[in-house]
Amino acid sequence: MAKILIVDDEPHIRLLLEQTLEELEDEGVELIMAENGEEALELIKAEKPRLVFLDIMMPKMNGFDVCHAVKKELDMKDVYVVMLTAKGQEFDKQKGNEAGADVYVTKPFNPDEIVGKAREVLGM
Amino acid sequence: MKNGEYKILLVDDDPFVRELLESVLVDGGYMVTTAENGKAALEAFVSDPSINLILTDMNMPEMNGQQLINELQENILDVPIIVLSGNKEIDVVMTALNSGAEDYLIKDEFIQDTIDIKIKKTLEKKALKNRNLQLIADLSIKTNELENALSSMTAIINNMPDGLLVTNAEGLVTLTNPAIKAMFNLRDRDIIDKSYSKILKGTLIELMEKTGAQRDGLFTSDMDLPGGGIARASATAIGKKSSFRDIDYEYIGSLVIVRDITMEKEVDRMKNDFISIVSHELRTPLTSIIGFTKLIRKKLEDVLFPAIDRTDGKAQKSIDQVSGNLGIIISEGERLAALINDVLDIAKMEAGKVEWKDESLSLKQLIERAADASASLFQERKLLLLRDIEEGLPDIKADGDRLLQVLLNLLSNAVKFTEKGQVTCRAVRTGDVVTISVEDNGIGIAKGDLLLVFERFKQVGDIHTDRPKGTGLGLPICKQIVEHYGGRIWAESEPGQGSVFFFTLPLP
Repeated sequence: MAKILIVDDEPHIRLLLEQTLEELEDEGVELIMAENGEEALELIKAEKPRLVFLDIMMPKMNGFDVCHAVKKELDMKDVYVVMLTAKGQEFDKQKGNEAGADVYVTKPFNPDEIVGKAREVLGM
Repeated sequence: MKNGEYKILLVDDDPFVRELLESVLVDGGYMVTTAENGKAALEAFVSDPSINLILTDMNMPEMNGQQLINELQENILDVPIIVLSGNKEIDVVMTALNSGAEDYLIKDEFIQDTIDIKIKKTLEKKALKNRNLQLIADLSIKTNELENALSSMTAIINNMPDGLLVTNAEGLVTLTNPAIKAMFNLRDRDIIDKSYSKILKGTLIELMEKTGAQRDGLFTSDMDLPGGGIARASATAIGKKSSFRDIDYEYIGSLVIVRDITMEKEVDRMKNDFISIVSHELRTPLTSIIGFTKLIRKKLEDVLFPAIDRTDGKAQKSIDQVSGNLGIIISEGERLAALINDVLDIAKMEAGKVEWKDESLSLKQLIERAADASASLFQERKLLLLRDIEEGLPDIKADGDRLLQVLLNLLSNAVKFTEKGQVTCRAVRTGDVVTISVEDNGIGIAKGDLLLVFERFKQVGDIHTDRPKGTGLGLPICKQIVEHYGGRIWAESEPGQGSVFFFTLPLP
């Protein structure tokens, strides 16, 4: 069963993403939540999700560090990382590249874009 | 002065001598006035300020020559005196000379020849003396002025918050100020007359060395201060345009000024942090607002509305209203998001805080990217986008995302203000710049507004009803971007017939 991990320190944003991806849940996808970087890393190692929606600005461990850990240190090639950023044009694409992110989405994001990306990655 | 401008007072009790000498002097071109004794002479001198020289006999009644000299000296009447004497009166002459007379003439057969030259020399001497006094007076004034200037300079240097250090042409320190001593923990006795290479460290030595090698220019570098903090140091050579020698420029030393910029750097950092925080804090709630509203709309349209009885008129009206309202919330939310982006953008640009990621760009590709990105806008309004790009345009070095931003802005404006027809994007080489233009056949812009559109928050023209309004910052941002690369941006238009927006970029 395919798993999607949602990581954001803002509860509203977690809820928004959960509701956005609801239709996939109906189709059998499991949605998992994390509220900070540390938790995210643990869950990624334990649950091995196919897709991770990863916020950047978080306490304890930010999105770049999580991505770097997953992609570079743990070399988990099957985990697709979508970085969520509220930074718009100030977003540091280079940092994202170095961390190994697969794609970036700026907030406010379009729910259709989120669902679309999820379907694409999971092949649904 | 010509002889004729000098007046001589001739004093002798012997009328024959007076007559003789007067005629000699008059022949010589001098003006002459006479007196028969010392007393008369004194009176004549005091009442006639134009007398330049007194020629006086020594033996005279009433007041003799020596007494006359004494009187003149005592009253500090400054006039050159030549005494006349007979052959055997040397001691009288010596006394006269010692008490202030300038010279003497012997009343012998040669007097007619000697008199002129003696008078000339005496008058010359007096003129020199006067000039000397004048020079001393002038010097005194100049010295005073210099002292004042020096005092002011010293006060300025000592009160400057920036550190100052000056060396001579041999690299020895000649001047410092309290600020630089404080910054680098220096004491005068350790630094004056010492070579700068022994006192300063690292960066400062490098800067000073550069001034020795290159006489023109200011050399600047940032550095850490020993006590903590950051400073900016600037060094330059001191040159003198020599007034006496033949050289045009004489290197007489170097100076370095050190400014503490710790506060400036801190403020900079705070500005950056603020912009970062603001963008994050503003966008997060907006994400929820837009996101949840879209989800609500989807749920309503997919699940709830179909479950409602459409024949109920009231219900139908409510459905329409709710749908419409949700649409408004979403579009206003998206407009707010765009506004936040633009405000932060222009704030960064005006503060010079934008990171320009310059790379080599093909204009053709750039315009194609813009066309692709705006394709949906054109389709929505059923407008045509034409491209006319000159062949063989060289690549330019610039930030692709920012130039894309300019093009997208101009294209979306063109779409916004055109009912039907087409928009043409052209790129052509004109001299040493490339001119890119976006032309539409829309409603156009009034002449008075052509410059106004590039100002912040000024919106012109009719905005059609349900189109989201622009942010009012699009064109000002385009202007910042274009001007950053040294280009120009402007608009031309004929109301009712359309507009063309041009911008230029310098070619490498």
